[in-house]
Amino acid sequence: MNAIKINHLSKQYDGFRLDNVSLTLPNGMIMGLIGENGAGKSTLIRLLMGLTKPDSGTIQLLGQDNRENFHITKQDIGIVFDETGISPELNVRQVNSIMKDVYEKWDEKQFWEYVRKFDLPEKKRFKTFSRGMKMKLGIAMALSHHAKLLIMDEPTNGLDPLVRDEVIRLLCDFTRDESCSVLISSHIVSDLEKICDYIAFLHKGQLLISEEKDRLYEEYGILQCTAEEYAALPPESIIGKNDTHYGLEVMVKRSAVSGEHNFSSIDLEKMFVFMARGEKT
Amino acid sequence: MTEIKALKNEHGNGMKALWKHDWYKSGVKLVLLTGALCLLVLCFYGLSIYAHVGLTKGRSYSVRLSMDFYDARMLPIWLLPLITTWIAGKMITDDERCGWRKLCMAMPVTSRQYVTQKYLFGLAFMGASMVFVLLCQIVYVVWVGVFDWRYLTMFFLRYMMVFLTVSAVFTVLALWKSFGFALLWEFLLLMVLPAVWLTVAGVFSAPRLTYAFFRIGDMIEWLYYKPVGIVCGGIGSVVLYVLSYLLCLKIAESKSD
Repeated sequence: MNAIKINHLSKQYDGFRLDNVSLTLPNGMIMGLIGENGAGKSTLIRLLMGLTKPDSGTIQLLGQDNRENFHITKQDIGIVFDETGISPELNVRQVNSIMKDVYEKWDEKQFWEYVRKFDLPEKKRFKTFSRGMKMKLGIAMALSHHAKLLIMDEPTNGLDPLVRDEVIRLLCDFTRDESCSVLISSHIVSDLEKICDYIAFLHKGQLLISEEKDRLYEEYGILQCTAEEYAALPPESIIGKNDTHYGLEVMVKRSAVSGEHNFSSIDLEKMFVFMARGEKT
Repeated sequence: MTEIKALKNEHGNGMKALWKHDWYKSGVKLVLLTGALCLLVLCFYGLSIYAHVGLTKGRSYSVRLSMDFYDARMLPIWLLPLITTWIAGKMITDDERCGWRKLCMAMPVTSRQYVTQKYLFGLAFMGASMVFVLLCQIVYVVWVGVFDWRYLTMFFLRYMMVFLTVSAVFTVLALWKSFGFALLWEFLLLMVLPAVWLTVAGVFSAPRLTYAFFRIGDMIEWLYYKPVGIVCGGIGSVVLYVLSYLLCLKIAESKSD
């Protein structure tokens, strides 16, 4: 079963269109949704969670269509938004008391374990929390009801490297159970590179690619070449190019380039920049 | 079995969570505010009783002052529907601002539960206010010794209907506006300025024309002088409230950001 299956999803806003997005996240995997600010990551997550209605296309979460009895499916989904959504007047104890009634499988013991692990004050009001503490509480809430799918919208945004590392470790622990999957959106590509099995690139509302991370590394490479060598490359192999002081840096599809070449490996950030820029000439 | 559990959750636990949330968020403030308002109502009733007893015993009060307090006992009551509305509306705008509604919709809480809870909250506060005013009125009638059933039936019912209509109209406006736009300041202007004017106009006897124009209660009260008015007004208020609920539900369900 797939944790997420999106088919031809489109949504039109004034000046923005999320266009014909299709992607699949198999169970037990972590998918990183990468895109610049305004690429459509949050829109996609809102559509997934039924907060916005799509113009066309279908969404299945944990094998269920998100238009039918979604409140039942949501029992198995943990969500973390960029802004956690907790009222500033509440404290951790009150949050626990509320969540107990929201989720049937709310695990108080686990929640308090997370609270202790994150060193969150029990009685202090949420408005006194730092951004890192707020995010940790949001994550504790999402992880304390035995969710099978975790959806996180920019959870590491604005966090210091230590907390970001802590969050990443938590996600790795979460997916040790192979029935648990994660969709995490971020524009901090280095975070996603560490933990994700699958990568989806969104750019200006278009899904550029959705693929296994390791296959991306295998499939794409960087070629340092001269202008003449560049001109000899098959056009279908070129993803993007960059002029440097030392010549041309070209991102290519390795399988489409014939002959012997010295490809250097490419990281996700560079891959995304090349794909988003799309400069070929 | 899962379906039954989920249905139970949809109509039970989710609502309970929303009530808890609102209670934790503003329970203490609400109790203090209500307490202060009730105290204000009691003061006005006390002054009214004092003035009435003074008049009947022929004490040398300023007639103007006595009559003002005699008539004015109902004035602070008008703050109750306004405050009811303000609280319900403010809760929604606060939720909107901190992202609680968005989080709720992403959790197993439905928009129907969310809207229903806010409406029930408004109704509960309105009901409690009406019970309180009824008690005050009974005490008043008993104390001043004019134990006429008309005071507790036609006369008082008339006031209750006015109260219900004003509450319904303001709640309808505020909840609808809050769900539609969720702009706190616009909402405050809409709610607070008339309230301030009502009090000022009532206490300092503003010119009758503007007084009547702004004091919506007076106009509605006029409608309730006949029993048929009371019945129609009551039904009308309930219909208004239900229609507004359905409208808010539609807005909340179709709301996309």
